[in-house]
Amino acid sequence: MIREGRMRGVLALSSVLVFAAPQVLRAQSAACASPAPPARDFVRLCANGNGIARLQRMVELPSGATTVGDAIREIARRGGVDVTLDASLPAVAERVTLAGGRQAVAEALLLVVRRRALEIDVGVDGGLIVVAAPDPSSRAGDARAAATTDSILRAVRLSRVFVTAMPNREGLFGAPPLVGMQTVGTRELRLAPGFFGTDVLRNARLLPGLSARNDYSTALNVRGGESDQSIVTLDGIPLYHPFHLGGLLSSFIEPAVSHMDMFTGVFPARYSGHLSGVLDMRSAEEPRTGVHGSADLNLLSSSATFGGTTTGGSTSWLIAGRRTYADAVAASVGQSLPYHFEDANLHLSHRFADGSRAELTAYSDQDIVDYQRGPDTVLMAAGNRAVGVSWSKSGLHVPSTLSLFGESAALEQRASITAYRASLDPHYKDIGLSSAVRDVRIAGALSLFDSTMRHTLGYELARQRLSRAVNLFEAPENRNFAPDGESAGELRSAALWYEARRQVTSAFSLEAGARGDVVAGIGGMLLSPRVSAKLTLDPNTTVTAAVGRHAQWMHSMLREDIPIRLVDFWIASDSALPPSRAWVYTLGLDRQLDPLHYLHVELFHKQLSGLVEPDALGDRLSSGDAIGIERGRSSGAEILLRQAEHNGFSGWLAYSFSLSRRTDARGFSYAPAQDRRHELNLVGSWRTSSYLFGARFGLSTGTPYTKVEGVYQRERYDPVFDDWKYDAYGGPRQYLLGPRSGERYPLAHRLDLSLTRIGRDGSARLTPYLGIANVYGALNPAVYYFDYVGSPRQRVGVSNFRFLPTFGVRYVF
Amino acid sequence: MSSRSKWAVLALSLLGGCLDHTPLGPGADVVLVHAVLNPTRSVQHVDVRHSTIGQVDPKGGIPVHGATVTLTAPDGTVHVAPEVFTPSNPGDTLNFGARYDVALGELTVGASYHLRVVTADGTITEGDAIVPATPPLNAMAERRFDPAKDTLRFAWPRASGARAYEVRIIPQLDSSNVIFTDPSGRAYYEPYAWGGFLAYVDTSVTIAGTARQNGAPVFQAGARYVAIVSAVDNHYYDYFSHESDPYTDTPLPSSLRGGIGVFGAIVPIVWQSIVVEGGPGGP
Repeated sequence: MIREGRMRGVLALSSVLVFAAPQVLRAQSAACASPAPPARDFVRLCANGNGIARLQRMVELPSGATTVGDAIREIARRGGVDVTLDASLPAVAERVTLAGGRQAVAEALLLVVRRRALEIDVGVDGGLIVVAAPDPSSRAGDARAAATTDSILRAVRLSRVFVTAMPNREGLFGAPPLVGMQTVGTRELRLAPGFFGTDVLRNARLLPGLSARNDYSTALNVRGGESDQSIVTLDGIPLYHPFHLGGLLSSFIEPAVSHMDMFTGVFPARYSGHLSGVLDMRSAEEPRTGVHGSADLNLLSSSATFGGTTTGGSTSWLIAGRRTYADAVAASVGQSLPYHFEDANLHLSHRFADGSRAELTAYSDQDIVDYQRGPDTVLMAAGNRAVGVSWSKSGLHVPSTLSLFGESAALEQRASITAYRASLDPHYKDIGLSSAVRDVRIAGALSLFDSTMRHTLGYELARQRLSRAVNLFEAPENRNFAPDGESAGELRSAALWYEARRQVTSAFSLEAGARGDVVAGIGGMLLSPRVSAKLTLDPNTTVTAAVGRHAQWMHSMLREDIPIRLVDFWIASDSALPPSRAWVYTLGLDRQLDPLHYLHVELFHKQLSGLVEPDALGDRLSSGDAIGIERGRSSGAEILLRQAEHNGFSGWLAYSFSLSRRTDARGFSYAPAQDRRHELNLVGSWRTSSYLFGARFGLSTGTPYTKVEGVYQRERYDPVFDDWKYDAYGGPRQYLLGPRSGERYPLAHRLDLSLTRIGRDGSARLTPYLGIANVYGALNPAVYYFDYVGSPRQRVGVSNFRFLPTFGVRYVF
Repeated sequence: MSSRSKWAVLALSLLGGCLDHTPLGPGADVVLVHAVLNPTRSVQHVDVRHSTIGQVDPKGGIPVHGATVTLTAPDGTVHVAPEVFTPSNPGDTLNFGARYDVALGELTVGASYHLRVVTADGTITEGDAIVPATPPLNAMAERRFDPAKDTLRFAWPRASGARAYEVRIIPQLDSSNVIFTDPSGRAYYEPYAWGGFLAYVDTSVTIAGTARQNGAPVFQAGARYVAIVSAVDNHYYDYFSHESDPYTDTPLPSSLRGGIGVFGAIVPIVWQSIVVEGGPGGP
């Protein structure tokens, strides 16, 4: 009897284990899921580190009593993990006593927050956020507190820029006081409808301050500045014209990019050489052990990304590649499509035992045209190849003689090589062009800091070799589009810069710096001072102001009027061509309106001088006459209103007002081609249990253009026959032009939509997506052509994208 | 629409998906004057047209008839240029010109001549030109030229008042305006259908026998050419060495007031006949 009873008990227990265990395991699995885009951006931290190596790393724990917030920060620092902390939460100020010893980072953090009203989530990049959780000791949860926690949590998820707007004193104080800087995560940009997948630079135009002339160009105009006044970098490595298809797409593979730091106002002193903007793309890192990544196939291209972190968490790697496949498809059916583009990225990072960190980034992008038809061949290639390394170490001991400047120190060194080349080699060599830049740089910085101040001293040595050869012997009518002739030059520059940041009071912080650049061939030193200040009016509101001077000594030789830039040609400043200069003034306001809504308002003014503008009417027989020097100004205001995710919806409203004028060498004042007065973008994303729906409505006033008021036929004198005759074959026509930039394109508007299947709770590995640009087919002219010769005479407007559907599928593993 | 523009519009329209058409009027109508002073010629020619492209003559502007054209010499003498109604090419009956000729005799070098055109409706177009001081014309002996082996080279001294030097290689017409007839019997008499060359240089030029321009070899086997180098003044150089373009916001420089076009000076300084060897029509 007893044996039978025992058997029944064993059977019952077994049954429970058999049927309940999966439930339990699933529950554990669901709670300890690894973060994965596009839906599971943040998941609750588990003791096993959610598969992320850095969270599984064993670290020496601090010992002694401290606050919960300080304990979390110290453990995260020792583990090399980024953590975002809402310092205003009461639980953060509670006291905790740590016993020291060694423990895994995840376990140690969970131990600190155990039985406290705090929750730790981990994101796809391995970063942590600490937010409020329902007080486990209270019986009835406070619904309002939970809702607040939920919305704050989602606000933090979106991008680091919103961390600074949190009701978080540390976040507001800790963020750089500079205005005109935004950090935008690619996962946030991914929420907006894409074009042949997510194009980071194209979607960045949906933020205030960045615009482009039309859909066919991603060359960026930052706050009314010319497109050569901004530089795009990858992990600090400069890239030249990183676009495909003449500017239709950027050359960045979205999964390989983590976020983008955009400097559109006064730059930090470490940046120089450009007047308007620095867009610093940052490589993504895969924090999980094993091999993870994604493969993407859409109408235009296929791409794959692989990455992982070693078990010890010390080394992470990521490799990505992309290529169009239309040429291969055409070849398979016996046709020829002599064009393709290809991109490749590699990123390695290693954390040494002494806490220092080394990174390697390699990058390549190429556009290739290989046309062969009998004896007639054309080979065209354009792109960048770049590699960069960096080494950094923080927590260095500061000698007593320097203790006045800080208690801790950090050191960083970096070096990079970039080779840009664009060439067109036809068989007959009647038309040929080449443009090349070889950029070599080394830079470094030493920072001394404590809780209230930071001093940074840095240097940069750079050498750029520029060359161009444009032969338009065959087609002189194209000379206006490219600088005919040959030139080669070398720029060598050395810079020393200094920045000091001080928390003057609890509400006021100040940053001042200066940079001195010495450029060979240009007399004297280019001194560029910068000052910025931040005032905290209340826990939710800050005001920032900045003024700074920028310099630029490499210039594009293409006129900004050209609506599409296929390649670029560069010229260096010298004793005859002084550098361009700009004074930049900004004033900004940041306010967290409520846990869901964040407002950013910024005013700017730029005074520009020494702008290089190629002069198509210059004398090509006189060296240097093909360049005109202009001056100008750009002013405006920007508004960014953000809503954090609530009930599945998040989005933003971005509005820019900009007013730009230029004055040419002859004293003529005009609106430059990039002068777009008003631009509004409304971006929304709706997340359901299985789908992600994105929408973007854009409304913008037109950019200026020069009207063609008539055409005429030029006659050419024949000295042999002493007669007037038409140019060969009756052309080319000559144009009667109206006032420069005297007309404007009409108001443009369009709606883009996208739909992505993310699977139940974002668990799908295979995520198909569909996007439609310009859903209702608005006709927004990108460029006008005036035909006064045909019958009937007509103005032909070439539209921007008009109802352009794209679809693809991504597999995440 | 030029070929380049057509392909650009087609490519963008395929990508963008749509073209928008808005009717245009006839366009601005401006008096268009082409005139140069050539001291090697006894008669100077002034061509006066409307800028508007005519429907009868699709190549050029509608001729302006009945205008009063005068050239004032440096000594103040006003010479009236009567209209000469003659087609510029007997084979092209559509291309009627509006030419006004004036015999100025020997031109004064280094002094300003003033051109004034007054149309029937009272529109006044004016300009000035100065003839550069050049060395005597260097008329070289005829040369036989093998494009596979030979290179054409010229050099000349700098001329006072010259802004640049125009190098032309012009196909030569025979007495019936036919360059040559190929074995199929097709006659070539369009001047620029068979090679040629144009460039603006400083004081020397080198042209390879295999050079190409405008999609064709400069030197066609069997053809005859005249190579001519001329000193030109700044008005001539500015007008003919540039191209206007709306996409780069580049107008064509014009030295005239009240109209568009050119009144400049051109002085041939090197002249050589060239016979290209080989080919179906050549020696």
